[in-house]
Amino acid sequence: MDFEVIFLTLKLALITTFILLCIGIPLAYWLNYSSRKWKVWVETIVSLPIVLPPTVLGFYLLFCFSPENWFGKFLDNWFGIRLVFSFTGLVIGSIIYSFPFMIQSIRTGFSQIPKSYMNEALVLGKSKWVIIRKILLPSMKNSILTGCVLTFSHTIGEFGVILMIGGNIPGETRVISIALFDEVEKLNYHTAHQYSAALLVVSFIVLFIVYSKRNNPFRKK
Amino acid sequence: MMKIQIYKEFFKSSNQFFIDVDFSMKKGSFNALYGGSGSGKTSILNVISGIKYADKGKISISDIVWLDTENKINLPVNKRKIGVVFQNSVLFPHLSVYENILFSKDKNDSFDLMNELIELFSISDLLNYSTDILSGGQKQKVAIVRALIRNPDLLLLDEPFSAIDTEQRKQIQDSLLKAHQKLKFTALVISHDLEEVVRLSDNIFMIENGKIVKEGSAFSLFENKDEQEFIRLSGIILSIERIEAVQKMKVLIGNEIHTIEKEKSNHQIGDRVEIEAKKSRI
Repeated sequence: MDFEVIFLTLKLALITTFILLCIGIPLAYWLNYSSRKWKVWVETIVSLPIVLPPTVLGFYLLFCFSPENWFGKFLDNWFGIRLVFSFTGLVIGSIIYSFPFMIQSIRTGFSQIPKSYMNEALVLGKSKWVIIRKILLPSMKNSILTGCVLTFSHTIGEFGVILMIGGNIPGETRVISIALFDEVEKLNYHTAHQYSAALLVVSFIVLFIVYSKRNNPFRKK
Repeated sequence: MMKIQIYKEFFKSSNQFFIDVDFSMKKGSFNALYGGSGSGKTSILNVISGIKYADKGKISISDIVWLDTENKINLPVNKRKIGVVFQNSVLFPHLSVYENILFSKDKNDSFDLMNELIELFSISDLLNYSTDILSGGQKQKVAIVRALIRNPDLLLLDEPFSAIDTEQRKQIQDSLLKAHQKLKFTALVISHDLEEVVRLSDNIFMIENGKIVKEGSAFSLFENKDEQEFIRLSGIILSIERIEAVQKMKVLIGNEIHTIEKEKSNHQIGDRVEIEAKKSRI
């Protein structure tokens, strides 16, 4: 078993989870509390990766990132960035692919907090930023944890998007799911078993954490 | 002086209601908004605190304007120097009692005042507790302390004692009055409990259907009213003596036993009865 594959997979999952957490909290807050009419457009776009086959998403990303097209050309010409078949491209693809898992979990957390919390904290003279930081987020830490572990595990297991935009470049885009596929194609079942077992164990641990923590976020420990 | 003018229309189960009030409160006074359910008391509190917006209105305290719909001024809730104690105040469950109090405290607020209030409301033993295990009365005490440590210009209390037993209620009311004497904040308590209103406030606004119909001290409002006004009391029957068509019942109302004569009924000892009586007879 190639440990570089494991390291690269974990690195991709961690970076994706961290970036999605940073984007997810403000976006989920906005989706939960905003009453803008065009919110439904954002909700639909955010949820698309749930229903869209990963290969479709991967194909569009490949099309978009390709230096043959205007966006890819723009990135290449102006910033010297090539996203296809690169680790950075994988991170962006993973972020888009796992978007709904993080957003929906955090949004559920916000929606479970009674509106009276916000009013009570506002009349105590606190700014919305302080309320989010000191009241809302700590009250929904289980939802945040759920979002993080789902995103992490989803990224570890992702295949279609990565194959489309990343290919199979060792040390750059060869993550565990791709390596597993590759080993099976080579009829190298022993290594395939090792990769599968690694994925199975990680997935089990992640789901175990989610289910053991998924209780009422307002219940005192 | 705090001046309040509010006009607001709203719908409740497709019926239109409105509040239209114009009143002022002296700085440092303890006021009450007294009226029945649905008279618009809580809506007024929500507009004063800034949680809700008024269709038209002006609210100012000393020279600071909190709301002026004509000039499109609406000071955000967290910028108004208020303390609000709701009927069911929320204590944040992930924080201990002390952390809940501390959350309200700004950098410039005094620790001495906080400690004094904690002593005054006798909650020093509760500070390390989780808020889950507090009784209703203890929760309201914490909520009042939390509201007062900011030394607010205005303290709003929305039926704060309605879910608390009589003995604790009096104890908290005493502490609140002592805090008021010390801090001299302006207060407005909203209540439909006449006893509470009379006990706490030195100026009462009576509200009916969204309008203030009378204003004054408890004495001036009720001195000639007793002969005409009936009040409802609730009590528990301790004994029943039936004599021909009449029955004499000994009824426990509050802490006192009253003898009441009524026509024969099916009441049993231990039943709770509602009695309507002239105020002057109580």
